Amino acid sequence: MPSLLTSGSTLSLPIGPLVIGVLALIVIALLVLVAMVIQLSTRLRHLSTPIYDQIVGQAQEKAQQVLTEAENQARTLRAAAQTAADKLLADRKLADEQLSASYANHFKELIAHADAALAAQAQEVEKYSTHFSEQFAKLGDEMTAHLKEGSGRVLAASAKEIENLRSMFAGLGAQAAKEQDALVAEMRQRVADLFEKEAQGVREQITAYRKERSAAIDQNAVALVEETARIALGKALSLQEHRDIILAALEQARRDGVFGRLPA
Amino acid sequence: MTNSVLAALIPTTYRQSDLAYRLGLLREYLEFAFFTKQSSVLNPEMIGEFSTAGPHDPADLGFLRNLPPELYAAFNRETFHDVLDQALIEAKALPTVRLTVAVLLTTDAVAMVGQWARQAVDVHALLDFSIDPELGAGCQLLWQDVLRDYSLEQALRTHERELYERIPALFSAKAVA
Repeated sequence: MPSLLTSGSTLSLPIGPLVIGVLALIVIALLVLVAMVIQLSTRLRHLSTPIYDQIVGQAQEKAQQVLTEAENQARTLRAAAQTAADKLLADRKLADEQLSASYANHFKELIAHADAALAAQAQEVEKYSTHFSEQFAKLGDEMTAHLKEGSGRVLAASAKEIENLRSMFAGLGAQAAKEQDALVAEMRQRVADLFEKEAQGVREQITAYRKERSAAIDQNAVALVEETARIALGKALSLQEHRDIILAALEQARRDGVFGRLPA
Repeated sequence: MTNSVLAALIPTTYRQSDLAYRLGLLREYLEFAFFTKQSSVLNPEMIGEFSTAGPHDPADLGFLRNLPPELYAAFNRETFHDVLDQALIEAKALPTVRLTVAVLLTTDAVAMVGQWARQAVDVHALLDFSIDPELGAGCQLLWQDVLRDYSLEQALRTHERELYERIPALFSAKAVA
């Protein structure tokens, strides 16, 4: 039986369990290392939290200061703007009042000038009016005198002309009456001749038309009577009468020998 | 006439169109009984079933009921088609009086004219009607390729000359009066 200890004091062990043992040690060492890292990380986080809070607090405080300063500046600017606007409005109001006073004075001057011009013009108009009235009165008297003189002359001339025309028209009227009577007689004769001629033609046409229509009416009357009889009899007959007429027609056909030839 | 079906139908059938229609109706009834109902018995009850199987005119059902029982007894599902075909062929060969009339006649009037034709022309004579209102009254008759016109229209046309002579005179006399 072989022994584990050989000569020369050489220790001889199997290699497999040895490797497994080393690997197990390595794994245990890694696990310990991971645990330490986790512990250190947790501790570091606990250490860094107050610093973070302090930084955040400082930032918030600074931001608050900035906001406060900004509000103060805005308030200052708003007050300055309000003051400037009030001053501007006061200046504008003063200027408007001055302008209104200036316009009022100017209008007063214009009205005074206009009144003076109107008074002067009224005086001129009155002066011209008196002059024209005198002139018109004078002219009217002169025209009245001329008209009186002229009308006398015109009346005398008109009476003379009227007398002349009256005598001339009397002669023309007698001659025209004679010519008119002759013309009327001639026209009457012509119209009578034409009328007689036309009447004769119309009488002949009427006679021919009457003959033609009479023949047409006679012919239409026959057709009309035929159609009327056919329709009236066709509608007036009862079915029994139709049947009897058909039977009578068939009897007539038999008497006529229509059915003499019977089928073979 | 050799066909028993025609012998049974002719006495009550006067128009050729009626005969063809009734042969068709009989064929429809026999097909219903023999094939639809698979029956070999043709009796009034079967006609009742036939009447409920579809819309049928009461007159048609009456016609089927009035056919003689011995006619039905002679039918069977193997031969009835041939018998009816033969009947139709023979019906077309029967002597036919073709009439054109002005109005549609009633069934009774058709029967009277048909009976007259059976008595005066041929015992198996059939009628074939056409309608032409222009005729007014009477009839046109076609028999054996001979056409005769016995209508009112033809009568007026025949006496047309006489009408031409007499009617104007009549109008003139009335005008003078």
